[in-house]
Amino acid sequence: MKSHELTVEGVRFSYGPLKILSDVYLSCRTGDIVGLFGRNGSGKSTLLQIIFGTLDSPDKIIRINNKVYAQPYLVKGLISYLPQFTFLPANISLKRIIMMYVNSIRHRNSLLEDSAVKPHLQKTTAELSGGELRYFEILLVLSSKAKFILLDEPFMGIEPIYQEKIKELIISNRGVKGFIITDHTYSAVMSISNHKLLISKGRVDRVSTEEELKEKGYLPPRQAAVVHSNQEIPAIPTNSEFEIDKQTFKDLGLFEDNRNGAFFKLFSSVKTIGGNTVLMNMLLSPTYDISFLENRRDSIQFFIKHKVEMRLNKVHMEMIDYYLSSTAPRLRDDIFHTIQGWLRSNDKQRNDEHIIKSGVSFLLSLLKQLSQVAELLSGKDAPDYLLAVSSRIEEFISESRIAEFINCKVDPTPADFVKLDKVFRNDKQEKLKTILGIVYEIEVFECLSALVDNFHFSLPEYSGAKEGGVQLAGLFHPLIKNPVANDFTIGETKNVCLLTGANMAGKSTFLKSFSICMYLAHIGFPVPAQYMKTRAFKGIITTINLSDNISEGHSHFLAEVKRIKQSALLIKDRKDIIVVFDELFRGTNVKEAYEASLMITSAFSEIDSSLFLISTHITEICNELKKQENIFFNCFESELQQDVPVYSYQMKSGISEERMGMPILRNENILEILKQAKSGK
Amino acid sequence: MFLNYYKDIQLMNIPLSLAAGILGSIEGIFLKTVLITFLTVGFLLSVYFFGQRKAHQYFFYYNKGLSKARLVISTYLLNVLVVILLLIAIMVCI
Repeated sequence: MKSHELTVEGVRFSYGPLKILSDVYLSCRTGDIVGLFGRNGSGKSTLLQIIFGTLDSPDKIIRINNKVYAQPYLVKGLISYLPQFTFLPANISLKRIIMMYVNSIRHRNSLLEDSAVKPHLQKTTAELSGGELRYFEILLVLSSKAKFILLDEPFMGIEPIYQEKIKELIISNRGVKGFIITDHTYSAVMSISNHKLLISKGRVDRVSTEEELKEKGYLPPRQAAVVHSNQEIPAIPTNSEFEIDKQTFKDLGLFEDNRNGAFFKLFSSVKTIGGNTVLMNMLLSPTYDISFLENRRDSIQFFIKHKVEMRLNKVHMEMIDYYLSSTAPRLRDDIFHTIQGWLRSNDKQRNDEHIIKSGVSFLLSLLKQLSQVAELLSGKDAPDYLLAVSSRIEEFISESRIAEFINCKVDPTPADFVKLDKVFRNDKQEKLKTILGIVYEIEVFECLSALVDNFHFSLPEYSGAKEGGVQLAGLFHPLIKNPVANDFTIGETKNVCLLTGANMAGKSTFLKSFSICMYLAHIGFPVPAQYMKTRAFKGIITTINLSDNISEGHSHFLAEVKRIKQSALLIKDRKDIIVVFDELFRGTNVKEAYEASLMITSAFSEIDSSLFLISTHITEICNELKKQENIFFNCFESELQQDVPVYSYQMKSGISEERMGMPILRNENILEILKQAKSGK
Repeated sequence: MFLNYYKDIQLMNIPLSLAAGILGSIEGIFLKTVLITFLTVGFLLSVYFFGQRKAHQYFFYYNKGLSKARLVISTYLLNVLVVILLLIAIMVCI
């Protein structure tokens, strides 16, 4: 494949005294999808038209394969542009447009045979819906031999089904073309672009994550939560927040750089955007309020027992969200508006009508399904939370006077669409949003009940006692295939566990499994264990994958010290804390590591309100610490079989003195490699 | 491709020129008014209104390497040719 390069330099543009672009530079190669973000009026379309060559800019240099072009669009096969608004003649058929526009017979035939285009060949562009028209326009633009394609708002006002089709089309063409795309549907552009640029105050800055777009003011700082709490549905108590910090999230693999971590694979059955928002809100809201946790756990238990399911259709849900946020004028059914609509019929109007009718139909079918689920949720053994949810759904259906439509088996008439559109987008919009929040929550509960059914998770038991600890049977790490399960009890009589074992014996994995389990229990979620009973703790702090911090001048040892101080402050502040340390003081010499580990572990053992799990290779401190009554010792055993370390991953009581570091090092043949390097072989 | 643009411009130019011709017929100069309007005011107004109402359709032609200037000049030259042919036809008929 031949690669081409487009570079743009020195673009400046002003409208009178208002400077829009100043000295912009960007480049795009074959295979690149460059996403261009920017607020309204920031100059995105202006920049695309300058690159295309239909708008002039002093001192601009547009190079394609190192050759400078003043107006690239005048040279065939270089560049194509999809403007923000439709650019096709309205009065000729699609077939005629294809015959006129596409020169290559192969491309022409493939367009004529395209399944999305073929049914409309005899129609004019004015007869297509907005999505159909945009898709057709993009197909046309892509059919050219142009090496670079500029797409201005390809997703604007387009329903999710067509957004997906357009994304697929762009991705399938990136092998032979380079793309520069700008669109306010930023999530669509983010998902397909490999270079992301933000135009702000006339400058183009490189960005890579949504967080950066937030920091630079393009996106609002926080997405609004979907669920609207109210009096009847119990909300998370605000004064019982379970403490957790970024390092602990990192250690647990729950969230990576504020995005979904590996742990999210477990929740892949939550498919809708709203469902993922609700899931994220739940995961980010741990609490130590036992009654709230029990209510959530019982709700999941109810879903498992009664096999409650809605099986939401992702595309339909996105369409509903799109419809509810649409600014399309409401449907009207009087003669005046019918005639006016007929006289002024245009693309936008037809697209609006399509969005409204699809949105209303999908919503109606969702509410039909939901009313059946509500009946199920009002069962005798339903927890308070689900009873409140059920009554909220029934209240909405009766208040909105839509029961007749829900019970009706006939499709709605045009007059029904008008009435329902008024109910959904005007009279009951706020309440409907709450109902949608409930629907997404049901989707999350469905996923959580599947964790118990399919992944052998169990629901935790909570002890209301202020003292006591944690009992775990069959604890495993949820991301490991065929994991070895372990039983573990801490805090009943002894609250400090010192964990020993050879390298790779499973210490860190166990610490992570335990921490994940404790965190999930404080959200009321199923846990990766056969059985769990715990009291409520006020926070967790783990130190498993700690690294140095060059920017702040912290060495690994100093970072460890700071972390221990942070743990001490948290214990002082909240009392009931779970503290997990993997290999305390690995960043210093053996002598100081011994003294420091001994000092800190002894100090921890003085605190009986918290739990401490500490793994170490310095087994010498164990003998000293045996004197402390509330410290117990567990280990992971291993053995050498023909110079190969073999691990059982089974945790046992006691101290392991085994050393596997040297055999592992020898097995990697590093010395042989260095000898070969020395002899030049 | 170009003929589609030409057709769009003439769809406005011809009615405008005929309307001007009807006004001119009061003075007995119908044909002269039609042809002059067709090559001047009628043509300019048609190009102007096309730019106002269908500005984005220019990108249909830009994507095929046709600039606005090329479209307008070619349309005008074709109109001049049409007028010349029409005058020759009239002279031959008379």
